[in-house]
Amino acid sequence: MTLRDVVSRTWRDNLLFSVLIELTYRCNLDCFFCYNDLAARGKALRLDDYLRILDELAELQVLDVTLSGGEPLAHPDFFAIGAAAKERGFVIRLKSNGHALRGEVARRLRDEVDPFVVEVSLHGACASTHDRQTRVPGSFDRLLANLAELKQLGLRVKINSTLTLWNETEVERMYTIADSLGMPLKFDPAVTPRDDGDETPLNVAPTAGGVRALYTTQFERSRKLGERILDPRRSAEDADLVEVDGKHCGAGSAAVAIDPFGNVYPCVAWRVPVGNVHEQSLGAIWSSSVELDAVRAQVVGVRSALEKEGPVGNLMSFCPGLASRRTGRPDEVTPDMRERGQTLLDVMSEYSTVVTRVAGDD
Amino acid sequence: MNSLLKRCPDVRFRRLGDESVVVKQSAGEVFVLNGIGGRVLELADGTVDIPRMVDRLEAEFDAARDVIAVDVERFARELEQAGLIESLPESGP
Repeated sequence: MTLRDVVSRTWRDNLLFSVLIELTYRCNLDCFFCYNDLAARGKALRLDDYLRILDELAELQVLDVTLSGGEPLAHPDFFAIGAAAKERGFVIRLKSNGHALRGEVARRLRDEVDPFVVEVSLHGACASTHDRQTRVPGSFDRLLANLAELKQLGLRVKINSTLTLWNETEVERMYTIADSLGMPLKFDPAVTPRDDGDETPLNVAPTAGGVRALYTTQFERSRKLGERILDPRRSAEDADLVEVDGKHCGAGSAAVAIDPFGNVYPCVAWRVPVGNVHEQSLGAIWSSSVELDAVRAQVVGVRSALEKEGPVGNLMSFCPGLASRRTGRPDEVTPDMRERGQTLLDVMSEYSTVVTRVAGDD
Repeated sequence: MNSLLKRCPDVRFRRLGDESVVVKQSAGEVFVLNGIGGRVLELADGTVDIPRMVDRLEAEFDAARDVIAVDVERFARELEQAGLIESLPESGP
């Protein structure tokens, strides 16, 4: 059995394998396009709630736990929760803006939480672009210094970036920064609305030319590395996609997200509550939520919607959660998604026989 | 290999039906183990040697003891080679 088989099995058999926990929406930066619903209110989960949830996740054989936010390190019990997750044997991923990851905090993270990977966000190749996004002067210089420190501590770091109108001309230089640090850089080519539906972040969505330039840069890098390239005219299998029983993704089938108030969602992008851990155990939600069953059926429906799009359907990084937020329907393709898929198909075709995976994937 | 077996501290794993998914954090490697392989890893807590593992697994699997013993020996060797478990010196009487 390969890892791909494992993923397939979790989707097919609805085996909860991966959980993202948003510890808090507090943050020490003020990113312009932050997707969190900062007005969300509710009964916040406390340390003892988190310990109970982690116990239950271990019992459910969940392997992968992502600690996210807001800025997860802004949670007053972050280290207690992280250490408890380590003690229970999870593979821990940390999504952080990186601003606080220095000195004693970074050392404690390594020693007490021992994350498998720390994912941080880079918003540009220079201070003026990065700091414009974070709205905190000095955050770019501090992030680069912190990344060097994390590397020295032996922590595995991955850099994430969202392509925007502000940084779309800096992609190559951002790769240069990542390369100089010896860290992978992953771009998300789409800016998304906030979780409350506010579309203000879309004001900085990248241009079509910016998206094309991103894909071209990525394929050019793959070509230089001599990686095998996919044939975009072929099947989803060749696009390195997992597809099981017609399911488009593992949302609600192998993964869930939990917000700071205990609400459970099929994934971090699909903000339809399927239960609340204040009221029910996660196991009970997982096995009996009617809303979750509906989501599992909907991700099957998504496959047929994408098949109607032809080869582009597999290349638009379609997210049913995002589609649901944008259109009210998890299977509705919007023109910008279609355009991104077509752009990727065009660029991919130009670079025939070169890539091992769809650009933008890990 | 009669010493006590212990999982390496950078190993994380969970059961997935009959298989176990194992992550060796330091190397970023993922392994998928079958039933007995997964149980050998699970039982390797630093207090159990191979003969005692065989005792435990004989009660769990529908197979002859000598077959299980061969499997356990083989898996223990492979898991050690993969850096997933280590042999501890046995403490004296």
